Amino acid sequence: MSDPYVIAEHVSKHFHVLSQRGTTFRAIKAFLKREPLMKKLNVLSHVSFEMKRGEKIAIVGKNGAGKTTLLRILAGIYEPSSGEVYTEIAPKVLLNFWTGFNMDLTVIDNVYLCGALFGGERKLLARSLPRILEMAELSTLGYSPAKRLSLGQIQRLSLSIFLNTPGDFLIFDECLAFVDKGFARKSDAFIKEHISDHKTAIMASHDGEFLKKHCTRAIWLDKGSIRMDGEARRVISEYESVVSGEATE
Amino acid sequence: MMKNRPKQLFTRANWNLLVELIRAQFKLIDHNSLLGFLWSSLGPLAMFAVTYAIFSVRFGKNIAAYPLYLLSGIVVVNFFVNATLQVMQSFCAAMPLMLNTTAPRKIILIANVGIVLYKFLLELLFCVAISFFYGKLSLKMLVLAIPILLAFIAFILGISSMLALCNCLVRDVEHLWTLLSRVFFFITPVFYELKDISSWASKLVYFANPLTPFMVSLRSLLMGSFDAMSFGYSLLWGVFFFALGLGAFGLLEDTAVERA
Repeated sequence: MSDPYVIAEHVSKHFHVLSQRGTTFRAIKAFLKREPLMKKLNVLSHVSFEMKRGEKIAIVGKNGAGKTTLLRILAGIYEPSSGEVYTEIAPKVLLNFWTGFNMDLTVIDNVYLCGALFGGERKLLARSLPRILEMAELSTLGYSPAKRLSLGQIQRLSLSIFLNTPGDFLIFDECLAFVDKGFARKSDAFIKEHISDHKTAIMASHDGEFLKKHCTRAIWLDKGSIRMDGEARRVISEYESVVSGEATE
Repeated sequence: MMKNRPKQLFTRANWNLLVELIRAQFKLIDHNSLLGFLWSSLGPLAMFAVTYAIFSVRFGKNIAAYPLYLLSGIVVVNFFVNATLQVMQSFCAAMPLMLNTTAPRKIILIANVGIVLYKFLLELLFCVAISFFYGKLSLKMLVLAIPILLAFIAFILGISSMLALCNCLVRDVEHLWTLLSRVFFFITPVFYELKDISSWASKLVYFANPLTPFMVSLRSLLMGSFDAMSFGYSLLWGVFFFALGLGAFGLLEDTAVERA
């Protein structure tokens, strides 16, 4: 661990959300009357941190705390409204496990399509195909349309493609939310192997045990700001105790 | 260290993604069957048959090879209308992809034009065959068609990117454009010649409708002649709209995606 791998400097993000459904007529009316059609929504406020190569950071926080927005900014999907983000290399991102799938295509076609979204080339994916299908437990369903798969099977396939494409900097969000316990154990071992020492990862999840197992450090986001940043077990335990305390109140 | 958003568009990974996106759409288009392709080709052919039946006597009597004249016009307008609509609809439909993956938005835009382009090129090939049948085809004309085609694709990309942005910001643009695009069949010389209409109307159709020079220049090549003015004018429109679309997309893509 040496130089910073990711730098986030005073990252803030606000969105302009429509106060009503946008139509051409309403847009013209708002323009003529000089009334705002949008209202401002602050999501992140002055988030700063540095990350070293090989670090695994967990992002925790309640729904709406800004976890996904922060991950999207780190991935380069959103531009920050103010502040800067620098990364050593482009990350490989899994924020939503069904994105990129075309349900009318076969499972194998979807491996190539999703693999390309994760930066994998066809030749490499063709070589990894048996391993991807085996890990997803879909070896016999390669030529079935993806629409025949269950939600859990699609998630397994997505995770399997993600973990079998190259990338040293990983960003993922809630990737084990709907899978059965058997696959969760399997992918747990696979994630452990995949995000080995030299890989850098940022992950968000509501599963504290999963995060404690895989992360060395955690950042607790609360209402768009960093509430706590430190050793993973300590931050996650503190977050969980506050959340469960609020729930009993 | 680099800023978190890479600037380079045509990296090896992005090129690979573009190929996979187009390949995936090809597998779905017309149910991946010859019969499906023939069914979808019936649309322009039916349009051709009806238009020919109605206008061949009134407008076609002074035009040599009127079937070729008419079909090439229909093919050009169809490509323009289908490509703009496809990009507009698919770009908004691809919002989950743009919000959850690092796929460059321009690649998604280009992939959607690529899908319609394939059909246009096949239809154009059919026109080339008819031109050969009429004995009007020459190698020189085919070579001259390449820069016009490239300019036409650039023009379509420029217009489509601006429409896709507008549709993300104001969702009924798609419905308005669906209605408006039908007008292009009449305000572009698909079934008539510019000399058939009044002088002011022909000037309006030629200079105010950017689609006209592309149609006139491509068609004149297929009919065995070369219209230098339309050729130059097409290249100019192509470059202008491409630059405009690219500039607008660069400025507004984040806003459009965040507000869609």
